[in-house]
Amino acid sequence: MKLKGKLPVMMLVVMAAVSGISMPLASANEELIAKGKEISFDRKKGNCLTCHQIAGGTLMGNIGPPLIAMKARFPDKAKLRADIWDMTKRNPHTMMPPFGKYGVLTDSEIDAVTEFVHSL
Amino acid sequence: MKQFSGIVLVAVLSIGFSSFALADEAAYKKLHAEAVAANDKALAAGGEWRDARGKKSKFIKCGDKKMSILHAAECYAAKGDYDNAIKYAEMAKDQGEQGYRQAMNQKNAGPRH
Amino acid sequence: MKKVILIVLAAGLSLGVGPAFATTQAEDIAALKAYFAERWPNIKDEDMVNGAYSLSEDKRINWESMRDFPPYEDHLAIGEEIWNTPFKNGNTWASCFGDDPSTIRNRFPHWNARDKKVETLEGNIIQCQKANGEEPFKAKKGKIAYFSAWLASQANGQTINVVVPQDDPDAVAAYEAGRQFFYAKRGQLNLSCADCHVYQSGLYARGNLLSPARGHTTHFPVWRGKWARSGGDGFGTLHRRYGGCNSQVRAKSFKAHGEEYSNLEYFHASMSNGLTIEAPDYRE
Ligand code: HEC
Repeated sequence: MKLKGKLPVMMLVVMAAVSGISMPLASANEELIAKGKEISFDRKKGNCLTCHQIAGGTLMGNIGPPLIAMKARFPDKAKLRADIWDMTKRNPHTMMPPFGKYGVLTDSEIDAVTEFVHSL
Repeated sequence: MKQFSGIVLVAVLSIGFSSFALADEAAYKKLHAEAVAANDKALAAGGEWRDARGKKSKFIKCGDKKMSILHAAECYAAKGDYDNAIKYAEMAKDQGEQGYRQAMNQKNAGPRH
Repeated sequence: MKKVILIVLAAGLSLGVGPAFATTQAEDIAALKAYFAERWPNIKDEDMVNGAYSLSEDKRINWESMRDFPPYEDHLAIGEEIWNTPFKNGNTWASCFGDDPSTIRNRFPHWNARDKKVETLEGNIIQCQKANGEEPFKAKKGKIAYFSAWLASQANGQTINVVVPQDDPDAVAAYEAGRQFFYAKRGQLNLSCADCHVYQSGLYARGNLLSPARGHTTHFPVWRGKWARSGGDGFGTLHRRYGGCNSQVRAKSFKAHGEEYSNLEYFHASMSNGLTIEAPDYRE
């Protein structure tokens, strides 16, 4: 049990150290944004384009507002993440699936999507 | 002497590992039963979700086949991969619980126009 | 003791309250009509039978060109043949439905007071086959859809009038169960029929223009381009469509012609009262 518990931690430390050396913070963020975009556009994942217009998307719906000027609309990134995680909290009638609460996306996927959407 | 301690070490380790496996199997079985119960409850309320254990679901991959979440848990358990078996049994249980809560929450749904 | 009485009283009250929407069928229809009329003042009520094709010029042009050469004529002919073929025991379909095929489609869905359940056309087709010792059709597509489509085509132009006997509490309860089903969010994506076909109807989900619920059931079974492309022919019954619309929000679909979908149809078809049967029809 002890070995089992410690090994992942050690690996994490090593990985963190290695990645820390090989990529500076800014590009780590870009990578997260790219990952977020992929998840957002994927029909089996975020599928955001069903309802939202997003730059670079095709065959987009118009049920939700276009995702533009997000930094102005959400100065607080945490609020944006909370909406993506469970919009029904603010509006029980919303069309937006509670991506986090209902497990449509994992927490780390939501982190990436938040990063991407906030960059729009 | 060296050889002996080596044998002891191997023996201890393998007992250790197999008891992990047994513990994992027990944890999986418990979660699996809870997942079935949670989805039965959701079903009775009319709130079961498509991928929790639907026969036609193609949601999770196990080997080269795609299947429902609970079927994936069973598929991984059959391979002895209890990490994945537990993960998916937990996910199926969560879907059952959420589906039930959703159905209860929507019991009085009606027009609001 | 007082406490116990209070608890019992509270429980009784909370049971007695029942659904939060004590509106009648007539009130529901009027409210839905008014809602759509306000949203699209230029669309006449009778045009609601054409669904999304009344809302988009582009979609309409495509649809009209499909209708010029209907892809389902051969299947309608099979439907007529089914009507004319007696069962092995010598009985005909008329033994279940009466002699005049033009009077059948518009009797459904209806309340069966004796068995206390909603009956649907396709449900009764299967029931008739079983009663006569025939192998029943598959529930959602194939022959059942051809036959149902031919029966519907014989009733074209008739005005839909689904009746919910207001003096029968069981019938009213079945209708209300259907209404609750229609307005309840479900599935992992947490969406109700009404989310897409009332509140957001007229908007696009990807390339799909969401059709309004009024006029939904007038043209079923439909020939869907998408179904035709997925193997087999394009015909499907209303309950096939229900299954698809449940499944796409990641909810478990229900059995065709079972209690849930039959009650849903009871409500859903009611919402087209006053419109005419125009079946079958082509849909994307
Ligand atoms: C996520 C949105 C969504 C939800 C929720 C949804 N549908 Fe649909 N439905 C569609 C789309 C898209 C189509 C195809 C385009 C159209 O006709 O609206 C469709 C088509 C239909 C049609 C065929 C319309 C026609 O004119 O032939 C019917 C009937 C229907 N839906 C009923 C339902 C019912 C009943 C429910 C609830 C169980 C439901 N839908 C839930 C999106 C949805």
